[in-house]
Amino acid sequence: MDIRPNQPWTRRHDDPRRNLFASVPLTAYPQTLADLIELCRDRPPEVRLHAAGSHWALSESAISDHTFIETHDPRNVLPAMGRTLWEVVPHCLHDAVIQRMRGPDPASSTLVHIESGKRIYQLYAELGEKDPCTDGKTLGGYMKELGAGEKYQGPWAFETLGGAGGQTVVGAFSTGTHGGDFVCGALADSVVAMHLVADGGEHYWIEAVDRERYAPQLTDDDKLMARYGSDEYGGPRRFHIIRDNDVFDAVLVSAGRFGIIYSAVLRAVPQYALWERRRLHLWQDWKHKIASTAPENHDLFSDTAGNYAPGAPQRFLQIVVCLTPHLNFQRNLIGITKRWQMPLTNATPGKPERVGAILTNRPDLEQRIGGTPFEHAGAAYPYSPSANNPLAAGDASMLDRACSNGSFMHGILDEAVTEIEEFVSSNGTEIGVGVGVVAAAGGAGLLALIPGLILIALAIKAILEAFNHNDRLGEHLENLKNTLLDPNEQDPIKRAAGVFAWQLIAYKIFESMQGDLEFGALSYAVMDRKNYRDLSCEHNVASVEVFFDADDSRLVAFVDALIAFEIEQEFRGKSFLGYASLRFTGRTRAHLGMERWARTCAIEVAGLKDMSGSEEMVEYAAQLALNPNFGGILHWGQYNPSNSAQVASRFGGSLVSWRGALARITANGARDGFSNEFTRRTGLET
Amino acid sequence: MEELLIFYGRWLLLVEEIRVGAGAPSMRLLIEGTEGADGSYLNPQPGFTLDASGAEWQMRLQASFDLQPYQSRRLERQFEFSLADGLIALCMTEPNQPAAFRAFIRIRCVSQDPDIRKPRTPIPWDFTIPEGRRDPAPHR
Repeated sequence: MDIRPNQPWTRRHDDPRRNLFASVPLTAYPQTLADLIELCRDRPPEVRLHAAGSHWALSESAISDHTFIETHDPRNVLPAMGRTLWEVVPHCLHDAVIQRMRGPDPASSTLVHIESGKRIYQLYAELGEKDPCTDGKTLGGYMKELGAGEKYQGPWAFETLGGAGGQTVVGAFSTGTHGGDFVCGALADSVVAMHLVADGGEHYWIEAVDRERYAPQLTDDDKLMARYGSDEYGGPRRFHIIRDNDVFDAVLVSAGRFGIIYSAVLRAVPQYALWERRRLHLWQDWKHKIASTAPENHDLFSDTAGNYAPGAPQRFLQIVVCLTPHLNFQRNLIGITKRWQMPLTNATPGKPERVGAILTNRPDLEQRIGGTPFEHAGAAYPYSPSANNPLAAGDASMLDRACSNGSFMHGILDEAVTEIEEFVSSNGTEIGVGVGVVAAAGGAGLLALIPGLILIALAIKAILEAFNHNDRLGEHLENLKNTLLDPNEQDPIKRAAGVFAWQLIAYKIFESMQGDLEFGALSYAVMDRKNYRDLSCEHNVASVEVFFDADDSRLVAFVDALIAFEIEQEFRGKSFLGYASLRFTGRTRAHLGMERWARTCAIEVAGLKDMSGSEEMVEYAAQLALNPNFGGILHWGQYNPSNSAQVASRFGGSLVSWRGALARITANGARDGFSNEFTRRTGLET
Repeated sequence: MEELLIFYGRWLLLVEEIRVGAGAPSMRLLIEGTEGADGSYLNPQPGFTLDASGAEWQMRLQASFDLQPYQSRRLERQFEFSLADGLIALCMTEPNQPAAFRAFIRIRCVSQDPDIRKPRTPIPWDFTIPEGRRDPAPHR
């Protein structure tokens, strides 16, 4: 096992110009279960440990007091603990479960057992490959040997995903990561078993009790003990099997406090295709439809997809809100995205673009990631449909390409300045679409700003002339904002014209990012929208995510408060560069999952820190959520300044159950090797 | 609908509307847990105001018909956020009660918590254009 002192440590979305910590005492890169057991068993009393996955999370939950355990080297240099395992699935499954799986019915789901360092995009790429069923070590091959044919050959898929695939599967589910599929819970709800290594070197096979799917139990005790109770892993006394939903539901979302999850078994479903539709609307017209009691609630949650997915129920909803107002400060754009499951055919696009071919000539990569290397997995632009055919792939979108550098802004500024100049030169008679929507009808206020608009147009042109395409998007916008929203500007007409131009540009940016779109593709190509080539748009990020009951009126009040805050910021020369995104999920089983209601709404507020006003917005959103009058719950994997009283008031009895499970695993708290500053502050202790 | 509403911090209460049935009901607003505003406020009329403050305090409403003992009425609370006032909680009893047993009240509560109610600047600019010069709003 590689253990290195004084390594830097940072997170993926931090400022790329510097590390969060220039040096941390020890960084360990385990590669096996035995390595993890050794780390936990031999921990000196003064040394505490904490595991990190892909460094995706922006919370402090993965920051160790002393030793940082990397399950997937974020620099992609050392080997990850990212293998797909075969020893439990299929070879330790309970005989009764095997018999049931052998039955004549088509396979409605499968099981996959993975180590904790495997990234989501790697797993969906692997699941999407058909198992040739020629090797009895795999579930597909084993079932064929047992006479069940090739019904477990796949391809398979995640039931739900978050909006990105770069996290490790375990890091994502153990912080409560979710998507916008309101017909199911979080990613954690696909987990059926976990292998936990705890402080002291004890290790636990923790299995959900699910007699409907896996009766009488998923795995066989003797087979498990023969596999994991060996001397290599400390002998039978150090290996424990727990089938207790209270413990299982506690460990599922636990921010690393129980120990290191070495591996997990997940349920996967047959590969499927999704149809997505996105439309621009106005927040003020749609916000009252969110509550299930609203008469027009079906417009949001029970829409139909038309001919591409006839009869399919809607399963996904996302509402992205532009916090910068338009229409004389009275309206805000939203992008509403809905999804339906659609028929899967051999022609369904997405695989060549999002996953690509297997790289047969990269044994080095195969060894480093612990799995089959794919050409595009985790390395491509988001899937983008053809402009002419919604069921065919197109080129990467202009915005996604632009995020490879900051040049996206150039076109937007050019358009904005053209509209302003036309308005000015026609003395207010020629009104472009942008100017027409940022202003409201019924007055002549904008005509009075024409002298200021002339100066602002010149200022924008000067920025265009000095445009450096290598700067990040946030840096461009910070420069622009300082010009347009300068609170020290003495000329009130120029100041007002600057605010108007700023709102016009914000409108155009949002419109280009959330404009109308309709397409179908493979499940992962639709769900994983991360731009893995981005060097500009998603770096140096601040983000917080707040969870409410979707029927709670405080949800809409919360978004309206953010809009009011943004208006106030513009008066003070600041602005938020980012989005507020509402996604809806079902309830999770995890004790500390944030998805606590049958229909939960998660509001993610994420912005680029390059822009002064973004961090302020994220801070305000967190403060507002933690105010007891709002009572929002914060995501464990994003900015989360909750204290223990706030966590206790939001999770109540679930936290009590969680602490009971922690006490069981940690000898009533005596084994505190995985405690860290975050868990102590938030009360994730016994 | 709840029998007891919990508030945190300082709120300004304003009774906006009362509708009572033929049973000549008596209504009382019960406030508990505040720093100085606790009490049983009998038949508060539209325009009645109260400045209630406390770390955690409660509001209940009770009604009595035909001189019978007071009974709790369930309250619904709808939150909204306005540019002018900040966080508002509209608290009201069930509006569709039988006429004889009607005891409807609507109370507007405005949070005074400085963490929520940031000082607001009136919008100092006018971004308007004459009627008929712009396209209809493209996004509905």
